[in-house]
Amino acid sequence: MKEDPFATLQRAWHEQGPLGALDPLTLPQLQERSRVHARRVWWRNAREWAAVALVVPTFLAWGLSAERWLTQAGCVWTALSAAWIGVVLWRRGTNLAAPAPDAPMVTFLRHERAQLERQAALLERVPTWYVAPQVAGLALILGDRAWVLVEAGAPRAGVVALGATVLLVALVFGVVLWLNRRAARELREQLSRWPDPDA
Amino acid sequence: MHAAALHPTSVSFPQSWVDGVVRWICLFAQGVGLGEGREVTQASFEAVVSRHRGALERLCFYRERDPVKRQDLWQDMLLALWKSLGSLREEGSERAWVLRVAHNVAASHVARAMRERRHDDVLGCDEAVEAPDRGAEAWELMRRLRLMDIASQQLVLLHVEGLTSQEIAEATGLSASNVTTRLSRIRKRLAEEEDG
Repeated sequence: MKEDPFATLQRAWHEQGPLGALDPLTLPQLQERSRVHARRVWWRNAREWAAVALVVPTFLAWGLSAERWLTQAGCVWTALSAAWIGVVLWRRGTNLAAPAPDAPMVTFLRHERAQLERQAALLERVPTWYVAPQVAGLALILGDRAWVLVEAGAPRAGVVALGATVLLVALVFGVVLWLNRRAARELREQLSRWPDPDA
Repeated sequence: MHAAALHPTSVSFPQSWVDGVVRWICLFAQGVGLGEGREVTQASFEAVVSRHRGALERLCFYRERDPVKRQDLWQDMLLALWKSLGSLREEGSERAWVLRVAHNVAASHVARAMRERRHDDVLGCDEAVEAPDRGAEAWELMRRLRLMDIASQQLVLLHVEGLTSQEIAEATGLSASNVTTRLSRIRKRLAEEEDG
C-alpha cells in the first residue's frame, strides 16, 4: 500500500534543513529597508508625473506657436491625450490599497487577484486609452504636413520624408500594441492559476 | 510563549482607583485593537523570528528559486512581521499568525513575479527541496503540488509544516471543516495522479 502523499511531502519538507543562507536582519536594518522602499516608490511616481509634466507643456507650447490651425489642433490634442494617459495610469494603474500584512490569507489572495485582473484589463485596453488618443493627435499633425506638401506641389523629398515618418509612427505603435496584447494574454493565462476565493 | 510576554506595554499603571479605571480602559482599548501601547522591541522581534525561522526559510526556498530574489522575499517577510507584530494577539496560535503573514508576503511575491513575467522562475523546482536523491516520490509530489493553484499550495504547505486544521483555519480565514474538506480533496488528487 502506498504511503499517504502528505506524509511523504511532510518528511521531505522537514528533511530540507539547514537551509540557512538567508541573512539575519536587525530591526534598524529593517526600518532602513522600509524607508528605502518608500523613497523608491516616491521617486518612481515623481518620474512618471515629471514625464507627463514635460510632454503636456511642450506640445501646448508647440501648438500655440504653430501657424496652421490643424497643427495647433494636433498639438493641443496630443497634450490633452498625454494628460489623459497620466490620469488613467493614476486611476487604474496604481496599486489597490493592500490589506494588513496579517489579514487572513483568503483576503490577500482576493486582493492580489484583483490587482492582477486590474493590470490585465489595463493592458487589454491600451488601444483605447493609450494608442488611439496619441494616434489621433499625430494624425492631425502629420495630416497638416501632407496638406502643406500638396499645396507646395508634392515635392518628392517631402513625400518620402512624410511617408517614412508615418511608417515609423505606425511601426512604433504596432510594436506597443503587440507587446501589450502579449503581456495581457500571458497575465490572463496566469490568472487562471490564481484562485478566486469567492468562486 | 504568548504575545503579551513579548510586547512589554508602554503604559504604566499607578495605584489609585482613578488609575485603576484608566488601566481597565487601556486594557479594553488594547483588547479591541485600539491600543497603540504595545511596543515591538528588537528582542521580541528576534524571539519570534528565531522561533519560526525554519518554517520561514522553508517557505522562502519553496517560493523563490533565484538566490537574490529569495533574499528580497526573506527581507519582505521580516519587514511585514515587524510591521504587524504589534497586532499579534495573546489568544490564538503564534505559529499560525507568523505563517499567515509569511504566506501573504509570499503570495504578493508570486503575484509580482507574474506581473514581471518571471512566473516560471518562481514556480521552478528548487534543488534544495526537490533533488531526486531526496526521494523520487517526494520530488514528483512536490512538482505536482507546484502545478496546483496557489490556495491549494498554501493549504498543503501549512499542513506539511505541521499546523492543525484549526491553526490552518486561523491562518487562512477559512472554516476548520472547509480546510479539512479541501485538504482531503487535494490528498485524493495527489494520490490518484500518483496511481495514474
